[in-house]
Amino acid sequence: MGKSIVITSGKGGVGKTTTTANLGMALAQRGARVALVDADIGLRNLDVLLGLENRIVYDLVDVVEGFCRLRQALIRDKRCENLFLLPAAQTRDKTAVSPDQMRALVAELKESFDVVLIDSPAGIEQGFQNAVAGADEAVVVTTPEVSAVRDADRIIGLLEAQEFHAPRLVINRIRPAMVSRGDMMDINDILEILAIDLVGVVPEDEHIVVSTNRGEPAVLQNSSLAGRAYRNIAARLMGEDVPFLDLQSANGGLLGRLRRIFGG
Amino acid sequence: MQAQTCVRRHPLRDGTLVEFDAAASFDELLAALARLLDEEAHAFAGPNLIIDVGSRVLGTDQLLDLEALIRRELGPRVLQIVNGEADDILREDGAGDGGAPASLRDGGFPPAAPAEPAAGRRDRPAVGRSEAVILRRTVRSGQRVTCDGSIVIIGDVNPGAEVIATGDVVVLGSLRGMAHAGARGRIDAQVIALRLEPVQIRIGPCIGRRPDQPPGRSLRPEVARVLDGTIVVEPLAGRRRRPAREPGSDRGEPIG
Repeated sequence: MGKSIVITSGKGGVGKTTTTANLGMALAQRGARVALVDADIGLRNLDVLLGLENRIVYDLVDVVEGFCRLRQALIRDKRCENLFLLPAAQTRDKTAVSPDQMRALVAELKESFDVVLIDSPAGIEQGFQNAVAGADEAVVVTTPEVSAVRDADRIIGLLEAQEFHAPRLVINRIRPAMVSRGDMMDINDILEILAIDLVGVVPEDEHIVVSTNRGEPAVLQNSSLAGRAYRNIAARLMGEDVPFLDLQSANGGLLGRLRRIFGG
Repeated sequence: MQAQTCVRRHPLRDGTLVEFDAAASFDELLAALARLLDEEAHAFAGPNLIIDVGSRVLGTDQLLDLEALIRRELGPRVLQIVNGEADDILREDGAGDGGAPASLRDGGFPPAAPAEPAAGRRDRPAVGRSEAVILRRTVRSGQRVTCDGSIVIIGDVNPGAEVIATGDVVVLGSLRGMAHAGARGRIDAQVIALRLEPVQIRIGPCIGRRPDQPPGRSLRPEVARVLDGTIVVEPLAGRRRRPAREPGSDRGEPIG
C-alpha cells in the first residue's frame, strides 16, 4: 500500500507541474514504483514535461467513466520503467470528475504503487477539491513573491480545514543573488508567514526551460542545480535527512561568500 | 406565512430573544424581522433584544443593517447579536480544526458570550469588557473570524485574513491582515498585537490604512486606538505617544 501526495499551490505558474514531473522521476530513479496523476483536466501539461504526449490513448476521464481500465490508461515512462503517468483529458473540464471518483481512483493506484503524486490545477475550485480528495499528504509549492505566498497561505488554510495536518513547503525559483541584495523575499520571510515545514528550496535555473521544451525532466541532468534540489526533495519525502543546498556559494561564488563573511 | 417561520420570537424576563433560521438567506431574515417588528412591535417590551444568528457569520455590513433596522423600528435597545452555534462558525469558515471546539475558548478564562449554553444566555445577557473568545490558531489568507465581544488570537493573522469583533481585537502574534474592532460602532475599542503590521485597521467607524511606505518594524507590542477621530498607534506599555503611524489614516466613512 503506497502513499499519495498532492502537489498544489493556489497560484498558477509557480511550478507545480515541473515539481511533480521532477519529483516523480527522482523518486522512480531511487527505485520506488511511482504513478503521476495529472488532475489538471482541460489544461493537460504533465505529459509534455515528461515527453510522453504522443503515447496517450486513454486518459483519467476515460477511466472514471468506465471507457477503459486503469492499467490501459497508465503510460510507462520511456526512460524509467517504474514511472507511470495517468494523463488528464484535454477536451473536458474539471466538472467531468467528482471528488469521490478521484478518491476511488487514487485508492486503486495506491494498491500497486509506492508513491502516487497528484498534480493539482491552480485555483481553489472543484479542480483543487478533486486533486486533494484522494491525497494522504500535501506538498505546497510557492515562489518568493508576495502574491504566491498569500495564495499558498490560503491553500494551507483550506488543507488544514480538510484535515491535512502537516502540509510541507517547496520554495521554487529562488534567486540567491537577488535575495542577498534584499530584492527578493528570503526563505525566512516566507516561513515566518506560512509556518509549515520546509521540504526543499529550488533555485531558478535555465535548465528547466530547456528541459520543459524537450520533455526531459531536469533531474536527469547532473549539471542542473534545480535537478539536484529536486533529487534532495525526493529523498526527504522518503524520510531521509539531506542537508539543504548551499545556494549562496553555488551561485554567488567568492564574492557571495565574502559578502556573507562581512555580513553584507 | 412562510416569512414568519424563519424568525422566531421568545419573550424573556427583561426583553426578547429572536432566533434566526439556519437555512434562510440574510435578506429573507431581514425582511421577516422587519415584518415582525412592524406587526408585533408591542411584543418587544423590555430593554434587551438578543438576536441569535446560530452559526451564521454576519459581515460588518449585515451587522450594521440589522442594527439600523432595530433602531429605526424600536428605538434604543440593548442589542446583542450572538452566535448560538459558535463552534460551527470557525469550521464553516475553514478556520476550524475539525472537531476540536476547545480551540475556541480557554479553560482558564470565563466562558465567552457566544460559547455560553443557550439557557443561561437567555436569562442573563452577558455584556462586559472582561469576556473574550480565545482562538488558538493562525488565521490564514481567505479566512474570516467574526466574534460578538472581544477576541484574543494566540497565533498570527496573515495577509488576506480578516478578524472582526464587536469588542477589542488582541493578537498574541503578528497582525498582518485586516482587523476591525468595535464593529458595531464602539469607538473605544482597541486593536493590540505583539507585532502590529496590518494592511488596514478599522475601529468603529474609523478606518486606518498602512502607509504606502511602511515604516521600520517595531519589535514592541503596540496598540491602535481612536484619538480625536483618527486611529493612532502607540507602544502598549510606554506612555510616550508616537505620532500616528498611519499619516494617511483618516476618519473613514461610517460603514452603513
